[in-house]
Amino acid sequence: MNKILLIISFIFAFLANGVSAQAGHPPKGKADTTKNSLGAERVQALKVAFITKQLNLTSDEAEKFWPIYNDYQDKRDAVRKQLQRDYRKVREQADQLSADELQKLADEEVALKVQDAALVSEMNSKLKNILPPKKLAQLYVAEEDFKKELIRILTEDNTNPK
Amino acid sequence: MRSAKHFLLLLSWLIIFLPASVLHAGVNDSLNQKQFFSAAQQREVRNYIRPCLYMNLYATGSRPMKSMNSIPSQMLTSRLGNYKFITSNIGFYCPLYTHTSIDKNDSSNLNTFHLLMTMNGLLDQPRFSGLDQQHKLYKIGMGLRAIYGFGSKFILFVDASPYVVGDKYDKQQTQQFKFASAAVFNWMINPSFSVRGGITKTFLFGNRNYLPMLGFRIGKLDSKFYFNIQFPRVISFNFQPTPKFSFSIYSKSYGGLYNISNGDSLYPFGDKIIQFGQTGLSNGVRFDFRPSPNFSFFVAGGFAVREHVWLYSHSFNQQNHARPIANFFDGQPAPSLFVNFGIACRFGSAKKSSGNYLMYDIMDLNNTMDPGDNNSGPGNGDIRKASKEEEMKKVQYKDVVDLIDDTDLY
Repeated sequence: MNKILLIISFIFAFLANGVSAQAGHPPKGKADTTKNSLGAERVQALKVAFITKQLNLTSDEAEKFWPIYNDYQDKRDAVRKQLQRDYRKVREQADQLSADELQKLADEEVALKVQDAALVSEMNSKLKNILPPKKLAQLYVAEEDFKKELIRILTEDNTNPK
Repeated sequence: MRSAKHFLLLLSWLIIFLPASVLHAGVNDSLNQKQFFSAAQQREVRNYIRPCLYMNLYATGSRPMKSMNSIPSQMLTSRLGNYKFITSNIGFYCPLYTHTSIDKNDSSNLNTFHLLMTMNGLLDQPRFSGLDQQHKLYKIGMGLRAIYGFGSKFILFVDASPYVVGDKYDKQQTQQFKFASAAVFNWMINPSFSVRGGITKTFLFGNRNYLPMLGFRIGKLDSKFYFNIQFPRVISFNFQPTPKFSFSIYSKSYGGLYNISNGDSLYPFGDKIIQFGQTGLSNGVRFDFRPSPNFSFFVAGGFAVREHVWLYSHSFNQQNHARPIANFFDGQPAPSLFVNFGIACRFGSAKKSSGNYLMYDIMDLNNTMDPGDNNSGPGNGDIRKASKEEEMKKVQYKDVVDLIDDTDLY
């Protein structure tokens, strides 16, 4: 019995690594924002640290803020993933698709961007009950600053591959 | 036992492949026309808790036993000889249904409901040097648990773990159905302090017990240090120097109650089956490694103390359905060193829970109350240690290459 358990354990280990690798390396041009790679997880943790510091959230504010903000990010990730799929479709098959299909794709891309904006609006409405106006305004600045900070660090570090 | 082996193997394969295929269905979609012409096709992950499969092995050294009971009991102690035990178990939990809703009274609160399926298989091998043929005790179960996180502070946890126990020595006679359960209420007063209270029906102490569950935690679950007391399961002091490595100093209870064959006439009055109960405390140090979000493993070691081995007459206790059952033998093995190691694999994707301390408490409850009443869960590998802003300097291109879109640059 112990031998069987041992064998299964190795299988699990390989499979788990396989799933991890699958999630961590999506095909070129296909962003997978729901993946569980260590890199994505780390950036998410850094974003939490960055926003918490920039907004100086109190304990009560943080308790209510993060569930709502995470929920928004999950929904936005789903929209962005669909958008990336559409972009990929156009990149790879623009010559093979009919004008009608391309028009539908373009319409969908716009619809998704509108949906993306609607999600921000929905989150903003919920956060109004949690954060004072100053912190709410600072949230959007913090999001932008986080992105810029990441890009700055990456472009300044010459040891990283371009 | 052969069918139990087959069942475990089948279960393992089902467990591995179902979540991997089902939960990744939304990740690697083929580029077919139907999917691409619908904005409503976006697949949002619903579950916060990822399916988890874990295994571990626990073993003590061989040592003498003493018995405080009567002279016949001391004679039985001499007959049994030295005692050691090895136990291995495999467990699994998987979210069946997750629902997130907005609190009707406070739209800034999200309530989450999690219904999970749990499975567990355990092989317990108490080894007595005086017996020619050893007993191999098994336990196989499948259960359900419901977790409801409401407001931003409260969690209600209910677990039902039915299982079958038996002895490979005489499987036909010894198989019996048992039912362990727990109901716990968790109040997260703030992210650094939470209290728990509830009740459990457990066999962890080598008998049938209805015990209160009381506990508290000091320190955030994602911080460098936190202290946890969860009676009757565990007391631990946890250190998390890095997101990939943590260690804890702990004291936890272990044990179980099984039917065993009386084929070797341990009970002299003709019963075909008797009951075997064991319990003890493991005091030790545990090192957890988390090389990826999907895979973690641990090694632990220390001293197994305050152990008891009990034998109960099945016929004598047959009419006793509620109270703890009465033993005819109480053996106390001397303290011993133990080793314990295990692995945990988590599959698929989950909703973000960074900074959501109530969700961390839900995950901690789910991992502490492991399936099958064995007190050998997968650990909190799904709760990542919080990062500091200064760590941003260590971000590498590979960390963000899939996250930044070209549209983010203008």
